Amino acid sequence: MRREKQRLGSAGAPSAVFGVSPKSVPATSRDPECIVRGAQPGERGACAPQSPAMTNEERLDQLREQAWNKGVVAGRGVDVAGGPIPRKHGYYGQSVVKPPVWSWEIPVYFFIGGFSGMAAVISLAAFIFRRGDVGMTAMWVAAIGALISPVLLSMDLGRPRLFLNMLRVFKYKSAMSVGAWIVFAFGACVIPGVIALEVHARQVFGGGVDQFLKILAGLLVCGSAFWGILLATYTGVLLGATVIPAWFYIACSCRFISERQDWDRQSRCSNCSAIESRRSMPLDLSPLLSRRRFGFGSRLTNTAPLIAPCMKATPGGSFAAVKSLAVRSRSFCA
Amino acid sequence: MIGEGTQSTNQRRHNYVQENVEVGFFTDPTVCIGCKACEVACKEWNEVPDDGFVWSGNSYDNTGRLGASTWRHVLFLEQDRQKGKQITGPMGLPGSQSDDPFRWVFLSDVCKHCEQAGCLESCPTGSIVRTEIGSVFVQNDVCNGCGYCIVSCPFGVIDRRPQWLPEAGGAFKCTFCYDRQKSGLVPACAKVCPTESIVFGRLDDLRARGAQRVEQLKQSGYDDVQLYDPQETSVRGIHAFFLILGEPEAYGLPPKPQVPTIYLKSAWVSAIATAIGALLLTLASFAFFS
Repeated sequence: MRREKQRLGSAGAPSAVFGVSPKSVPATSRDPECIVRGAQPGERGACAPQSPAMTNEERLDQLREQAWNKGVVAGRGVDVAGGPIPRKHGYYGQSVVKPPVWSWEIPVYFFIGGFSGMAAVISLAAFIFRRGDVGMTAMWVAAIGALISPVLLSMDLGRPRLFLNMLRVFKYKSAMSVGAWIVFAFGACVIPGVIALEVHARQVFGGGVDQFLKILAGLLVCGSAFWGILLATYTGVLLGATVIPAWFYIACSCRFISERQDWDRQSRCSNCSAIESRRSMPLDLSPLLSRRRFGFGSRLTNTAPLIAPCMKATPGGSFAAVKSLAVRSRSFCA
Repeated sequence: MIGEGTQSTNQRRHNYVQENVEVGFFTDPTVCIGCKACEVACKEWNEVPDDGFVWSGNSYDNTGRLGASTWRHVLFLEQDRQKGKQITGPMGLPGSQSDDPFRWVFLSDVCKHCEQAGCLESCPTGSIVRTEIGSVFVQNDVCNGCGYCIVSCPFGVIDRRPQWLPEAGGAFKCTFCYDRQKSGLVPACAKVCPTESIVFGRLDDLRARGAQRVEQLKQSGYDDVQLYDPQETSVRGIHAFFLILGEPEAYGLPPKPQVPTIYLKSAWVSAIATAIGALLLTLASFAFFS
């Protein structure tokens, strides 16, 4: 950093040559709005202090000054990704890991999958407590969700027609593979379960067949509750067991306090320096650990401009926000 | 090695695939000249489509980063440091007095072919496999493009190819030229490297050579030289390892890469605890309110 300051000193030299020191730039022209507008050719005259007489050198000095004072210069074409001022962390400010490619289908699926999974649990509880009407409705909700979920998941695939490849293998170490089987098993329990319940409720068959249907429906409701509760919770593992710092950090923070202290001490979870050097991270993730997740008024407000565009009435608002956080947090190179 | 002519491991034919020998890349930036021949050779041999032409402004690096259509990527680092026993002098603007050390480092980045690969472990279709030569290979006809490998790679190598390119939707990365190696040829990037900055060969030989090269460079005044081969982390070593000058962060390499499967245990404990809690809550609410 000291080296760069020296550079600043030398970079400031030409302004003296031109007889304009950076100090002599009018205070109003340091307004970022002005500079942004000044950067666009069409609106050059919009800012009064930036008269057409201002030379490119002067403007460059002005931008440099702003860059050193504020760390960043806003405006199209001003802040080049790897530009020398200000120098970025890591390799030209690139994140080490890649951002997820998932689109809106996945957060919607998280909601619908969790909804239908818990609906199956509610259905089982309702049948246990002799509330057949609630149980039947809940099973229908679960069945509809079980039909929508695989469709959403397939839509997000890069090659949707190969969606059956998900059931090609079972890998317990891959949360996605476990999840695909959970979705499949849930659907295989819920859909026949609803059919069996409806057939039993309408008394289509009588005698032994009806008794068999009743037992079968009971078993299927139990099965769908079991798979449903896994469906509602495995998605946390899906996000937690990744290399995206914001995601695994949240997942790990759900452990018991004593364990977490232990884990902090050993830094076992640290995918590079993310946790060890939390203080030097450009984006402090510690507010995510507090109860006020995404609460404004916390230190996360610095990142509010990052989150706000993603939050705009999209179903996956919080997902997109976390995604954006994950992408922008260059904790790997902090 | 340079000077060995046709007997160099980069040039002679081999049958490592048939003999099940673990192979690797050793990439040495101190001899790299930044010609990007490896990038070109990789694209040509593997018929990787172009992914746009953008002036990045990051030194001479207009490739950007490794991705679905970039399997070799030459990094260009401009650092205010001394390289070996380089002679420095005032290089700034007229009037500046101080010495201004500057070095330009080139490093050809590639898929690391981890010993414990995050993409391989997370792939739900079994499309990503480990080959006889220890490399990690994506079977393109099996991959359905779920994108889970992308968030499981600690190095940010693998990516999904966008829809406007050929063979869209699948995950792609360096294949270690498995097709070439099967017929006894050397990977395209190593074959063309004019300074043998990319060395291809048996992994054990390369590791020995890497350690030797570090010693050699330290004697020549390169103080901050080190091997980047994270064997003590959960990745347990990489098959395409690097010699780097300075900190790994500057190259976009994580200092302590971890395979995401190490988080599985705590994540599942949390999930099961949540599941049991939700079940009890549901039963309790029926018991008290119905």
